[in-house]
Amino acid sequence: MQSAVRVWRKQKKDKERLGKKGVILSWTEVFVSPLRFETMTPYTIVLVELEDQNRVYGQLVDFEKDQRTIGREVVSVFRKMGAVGSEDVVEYGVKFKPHE
Amino acid sequence: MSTLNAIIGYYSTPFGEFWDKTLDDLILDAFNGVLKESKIEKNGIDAIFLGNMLGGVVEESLLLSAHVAELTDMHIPVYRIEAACASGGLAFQNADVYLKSHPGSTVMVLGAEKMTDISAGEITRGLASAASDEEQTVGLTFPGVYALLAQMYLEKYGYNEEHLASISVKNHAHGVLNEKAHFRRYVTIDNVLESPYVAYPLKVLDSSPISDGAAAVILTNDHKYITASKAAHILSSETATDSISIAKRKQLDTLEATVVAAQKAFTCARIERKDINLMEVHDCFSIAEILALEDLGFWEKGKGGQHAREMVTSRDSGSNLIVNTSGGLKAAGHPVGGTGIKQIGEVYLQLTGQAGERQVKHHKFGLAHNVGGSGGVAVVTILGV
Repeated sequence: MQSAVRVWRKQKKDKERLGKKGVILSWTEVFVSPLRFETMTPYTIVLVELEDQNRVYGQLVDFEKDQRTIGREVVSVFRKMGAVGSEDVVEYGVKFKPHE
Repeated sequence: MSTLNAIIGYYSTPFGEFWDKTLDDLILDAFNGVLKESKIEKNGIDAIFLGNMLGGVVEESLLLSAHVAELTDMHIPVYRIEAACASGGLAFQNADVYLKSHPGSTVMVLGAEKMTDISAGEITRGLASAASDEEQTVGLTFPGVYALLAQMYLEKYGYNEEHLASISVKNHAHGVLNEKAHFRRYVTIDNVLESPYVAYPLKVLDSSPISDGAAAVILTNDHKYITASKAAHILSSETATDSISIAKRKQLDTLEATVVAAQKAFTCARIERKDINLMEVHDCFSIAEILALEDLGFWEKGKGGQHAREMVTSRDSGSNLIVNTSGGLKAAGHPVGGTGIKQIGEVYLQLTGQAGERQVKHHKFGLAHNVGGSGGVAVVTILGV
């Protein structure tokens, strides 16, 4: 569920994760998604190891297909997440794009 | 072996898409079926362990213990166990522990799942509840998490999607012989490779289906039942856990819960890997069977892709280790809570010579391996006759 409180709690953590560099440990392209993400399919998810050794998940955006490789450097950015949920909260969060 | 608990009967409903059956109907079918198979009156059952994951999501049904009481008209203890896809295996493990402190008792372990009443998007979200909050928030699905593991494995060890596809080809060939299987048809490597992606590199035919179904076993330590029945002894049933997020794990090419549960199970059973000739392992996705064979200690880490491609565990291979004679989750179907019981039931049937058309050579020892989530829970059970 996408309650306003849950989004607020998550976003307190998100701000610490912005502008961070890391490398792709693995990736997948999701074709069958939960309802909330159906308008975005297919979308690419990366598992990233940040420079501080933390591992986080995020969608990969603004990329060419040949940049979607294990070991590629990426940087975190702030983007809209899924479709608007039952409580009309437009949720933003961390995604990744290739580091140029 | 006289102090060990034993399985004395097994029954499974067919697995598939049953529009005329509710979760309660499936539970009752398995309940009546296993009593008949075991030739036991319901009053001989002292407790029921029920494995189910999604009753609360698909049918908005919780407090399943009371559902069972109403269906069976009994007042015995009913313990509902939830561990995602390992709900059945963990219910069995709990029943084994229970019997160790209840001499002269007999219990039923029943796993059931109703999955096909809701849309693909809704069931995908329901199954994704076995992924972590971080995984769900970014739109990762359950196949998506396994796809991350698969992608990493293929890259690290130099394999491709054909190596994964071989698992599905083998399990579908086995499933043809299982009259209860969801899918009884052969598939080829090309069929698998041409099927649509669910989460790259995993395709529809790398994935176990959404199935309805239920399965049950009777466990006892009451000697009068053991001597009167075709029994398989429970040499060990052990479980282990791991973090819900794969991001928090040290290794991405290993399910540590499987490694730990297997070590405990083999130590407790006092047998070696080479003594096992027959296994049901958790192939929710093709990559999962490869990881299972490695993590259970049968294949060297990284060699699984090659062994899978050679189909060395096929019933036609002539090897001394046959895997997933039931067709696995892939072909037999995967009614989540029922799967762990079906796996144990299949090993029981094979060891006691009751597997009919799909009977392989008679063996003394078999193993069942059931995984919850992406490796957050694993249960390893070793049976012997």
